[in-house]
Amino acid sequence: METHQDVSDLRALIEASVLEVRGDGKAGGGLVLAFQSLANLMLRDPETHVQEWPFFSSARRGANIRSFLRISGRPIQAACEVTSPALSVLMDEGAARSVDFAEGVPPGGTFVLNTRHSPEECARHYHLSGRVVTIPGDDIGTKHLKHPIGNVSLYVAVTHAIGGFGIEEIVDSFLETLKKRRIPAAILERNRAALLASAEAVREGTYHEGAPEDHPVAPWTGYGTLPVGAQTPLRLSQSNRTAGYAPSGVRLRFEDPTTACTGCAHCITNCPEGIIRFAPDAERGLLVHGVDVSTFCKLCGECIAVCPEHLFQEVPFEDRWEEVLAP
Amino acid sequence: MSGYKDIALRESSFRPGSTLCPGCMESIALQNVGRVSDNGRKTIFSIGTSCAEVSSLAFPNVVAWGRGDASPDDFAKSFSIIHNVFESAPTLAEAARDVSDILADHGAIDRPIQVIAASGDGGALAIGLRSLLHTIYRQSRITMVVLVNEIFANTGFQYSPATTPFAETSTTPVGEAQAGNPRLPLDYIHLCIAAGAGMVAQVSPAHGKLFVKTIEKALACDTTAVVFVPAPCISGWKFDDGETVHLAELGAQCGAYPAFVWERGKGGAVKDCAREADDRPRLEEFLGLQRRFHHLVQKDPASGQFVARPGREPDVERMRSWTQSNVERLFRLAELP
Amino acid sequence: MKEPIATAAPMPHHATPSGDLYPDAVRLERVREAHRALYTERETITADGNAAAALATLQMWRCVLYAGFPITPSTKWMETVAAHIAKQVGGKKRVKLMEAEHAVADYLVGAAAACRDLVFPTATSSVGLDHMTETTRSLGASGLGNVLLIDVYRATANFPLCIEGDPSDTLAHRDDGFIQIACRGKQQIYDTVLQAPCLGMHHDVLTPTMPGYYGIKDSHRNARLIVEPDAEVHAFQDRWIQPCPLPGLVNGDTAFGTCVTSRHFQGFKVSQKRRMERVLHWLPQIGADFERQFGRPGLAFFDTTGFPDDGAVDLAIVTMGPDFGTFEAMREQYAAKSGLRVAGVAMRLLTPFPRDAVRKRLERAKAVVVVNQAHHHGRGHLTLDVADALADLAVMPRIISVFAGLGGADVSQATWERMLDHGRAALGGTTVPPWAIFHEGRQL
Repeated sequence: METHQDVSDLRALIEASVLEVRGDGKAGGGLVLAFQSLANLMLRDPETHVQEWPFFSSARRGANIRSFLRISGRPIQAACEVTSPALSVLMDEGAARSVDFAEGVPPGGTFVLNTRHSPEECARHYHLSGRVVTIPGDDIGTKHLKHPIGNVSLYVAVTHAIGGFGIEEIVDSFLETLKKRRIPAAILERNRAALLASAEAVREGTYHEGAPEDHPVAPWTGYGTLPVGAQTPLRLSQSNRTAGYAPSGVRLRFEDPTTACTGCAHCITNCPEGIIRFAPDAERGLLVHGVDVSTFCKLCGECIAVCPEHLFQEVPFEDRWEEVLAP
Repeated sequence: MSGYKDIALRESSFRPGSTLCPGCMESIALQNVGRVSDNGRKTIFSIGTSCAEVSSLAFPNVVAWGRGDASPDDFAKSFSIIHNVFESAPTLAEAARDVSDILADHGAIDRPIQVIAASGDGGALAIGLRSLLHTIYRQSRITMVVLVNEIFANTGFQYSPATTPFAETSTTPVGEAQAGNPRLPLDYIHLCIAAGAGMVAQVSPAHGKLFVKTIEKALACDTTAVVFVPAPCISGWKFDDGETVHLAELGAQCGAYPAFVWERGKGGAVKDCAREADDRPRLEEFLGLQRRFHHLVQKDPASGQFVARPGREPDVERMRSWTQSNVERLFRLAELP
Repeated sequence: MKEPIATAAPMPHHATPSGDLYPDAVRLERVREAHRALYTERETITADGNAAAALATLQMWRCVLYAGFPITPSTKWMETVAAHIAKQVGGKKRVKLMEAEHAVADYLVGAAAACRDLVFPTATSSVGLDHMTETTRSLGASGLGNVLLIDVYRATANFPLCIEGDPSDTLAHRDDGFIQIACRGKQQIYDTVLQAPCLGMHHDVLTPTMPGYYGIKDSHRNARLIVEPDAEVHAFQDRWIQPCPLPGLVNGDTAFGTCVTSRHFQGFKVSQKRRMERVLHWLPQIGADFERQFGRPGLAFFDTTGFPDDGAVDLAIVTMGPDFGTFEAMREQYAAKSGLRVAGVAMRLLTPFPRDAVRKRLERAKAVVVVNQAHHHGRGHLTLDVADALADLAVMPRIISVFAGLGGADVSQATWERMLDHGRAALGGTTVPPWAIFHEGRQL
């Protein structure tokens, strides 16, 4: 691997060596589809080779996942993970809470983010040096697909970042990928509209807000002492903060100003995470007074559905970036 | 028997932090089994390979199990869990039961231990049917909870022997030559009764009071108690957020998986599901909420109701007749002594 | 209760990396006290191999639950256990008859995890072991050294099926994670089963054991067997088996059988390999202690015959199992006739293969004839291990690979003679094929 390669011209990278792409997102958020679509688009050029794969372990919907893509004008032999991608993609800003999506990106690299924020805001917030491309994919998804899913837009933004594609082939290739998944025709048309809208909504700029030490590749520090047979302790080991699985931009709220809670306990027994907060109550048996929203709530909405008094609701919630960055 | 609210106040052994999908019924069921089993006895839990296992027993974050914040000195709150392979939950539980009993027989332990096993329907009814039936046949004093999402969810939503007819799964796709799953589900309730179970039930937490009461009874059963938990799978059945409990209830009322409790010597009953089709909610409404049946029904814009897609009427009728035979079957099983 | 077995030193909670341990939850001394001795004196009896193995497990106070499923030729182990338990009025040991070998293996996982201070034995053979494979690999990695899986060797292939013994089953399971020890003769079977848990449950090792012996040739032949009084057996085992530092399902708050990603998996395999390697350190010490107490050789890497002090021989045989005895019986005669110095090694420890000890034993042999008894598409399992052991010698002995006794075929004196001639020819400079099969004095 050349060490002082210019990584800013992605097309040149494809022709001269290989363009390595890494994406971070959440399972069920469409990252894999976006990468597969990119691979299909690339393969329309008979001279281009691709290697596309996701890493998801046993992650379920909402958990962080990663996708990788290599694109080259020559056959691709490398089998190792992508650790210094020239193009880094962030599908879901929620995913960036637990991983550094810019990790190992060489100076002058390209960043594509699905976000409402401007390229400049993103560069400053995430300490990015290089070309920053943004698209408000969730909003476009909500408008055209009736669902805040940004993969259609993200795909378009990445094609923009790589450059050299006509809008028709960008649209056709994506729709072909969907057809293979047996998506009904009406939904294909909505996707077409979303693709076209996305092409108009890409923004970009080049910034120098990050220092090389901002996104170091964490060195491997060994396996440490592992328990025999992976036998593991149980008590008090709740370290997997699953609130990150919830969709970005919304949050659960419990409000009961008039103490309408009847103590029916349905929210407690139907909460998959067991995080409804309540106290014994002389009159009702028990009284619900809240939910542990910030640590474990995946915002599945079951409490909203089962509460006879409608005390739970989903409300807009904007992550303030200061909070996100707090350790 | 404890009241529903008393159960809610207990401390579940299934803790937050699993990587299960948001709104997963397996998670809701395990929360409740975990609460009911907080009854002063030490709990040993075995679990077959399944979504519930890989999403809750991942090293180094074994986050989702253990009776949380109780003092580690309190043996009544002690909890252990073991997983081996797909079919092993009943066998592992039986072994733990036997060792506990033999230790008690020696006077080596004197505090009560209860043993619970959990598997998915793939683990219990496909690869593990032999294990399940033989553990029942040997009258092992365990409670077996089968989380029936009607698919191999863990491997990506493939057909299982509990898959509803016509359901689209990854291995029974809908195409011109096939309208989803062509088979009828295995009659697992009857099999368990015939193998000698002390108690067999089918109930989900959507019937909350019945569910906790059933698990309590199962834990008190002196032979094998099997509780099948219909578990709508948000990712595999493909429905909207917040619909899990609703679908579990609707499916039971429609006759797809009626609530049913049977005890050896006492007989059984079908609960909250009418024997006559006309007295049950429309089947189409149940099908319409799930995209695994998208090929059968669609929403009629005029009435707002789900109706058979043009040309699919015979399939929907076949589905209706399967549902009726399913309900009849359970009513007849309920009459077994 | 005299010895420290049940009076485990109180351990602080979180004493182990595997969760909470309730050291007082199980009063093991009650199990020990409830044991009913089979023998109060040393006795000499007549037994076949299966009975020898069964008696050894019946004499252990830590064996209270015997899970099994019948398969020829190991069935009589289970029958012997069942017969003893059936006549022991008031005894508390139990037999557990499962629906298949796979269920037996699963059951062993659950039972051994439930109480790590008891020993859970079973016996199986051939396709029975294969049927357990899904779980033998779990067991091998589990840290449950209190599982004792006796393998009565039998050819594994069906098409055609053969109920007689060769070690192709155990050799097909080299990487399951078990400590594999081969025995020959009733006494060695009995003694090995008694020592195996001491090795497997050692805190440095925590790895299940798979002692084995040849089906039919050893399982079904009767011979004299010295049985030790139960009290002596207990004294020996209690000296080695200390309370497990890790919690079990009954006396702990813990999770077994978690899943990991590639970030960790390899790390667990490294520790599993290291635990297995420690067998090479502890096995000879357990064997020496056994010999001190009982006056018979204990566990060893291998048995030998005919080696002079300096180890210099012309022809060394390496094999395993009872057919080594036929060679032993004719060795001197052959040596005299051929004018060669002839010696032999019968392997006992198959996994981990004691490379260094084998090299040291064979480094001054001019030629080594490895007699394989299990089907292999190459030069033979044993040949490859011996070749590996000798590989880094400056002057490597010539290795000659032969096969005999597949599927329990008789290995006659004439066959032995012919195999030795084959080695002798190679030693004299004749080119021999990479492997050759012998039967009834002929090369096939």
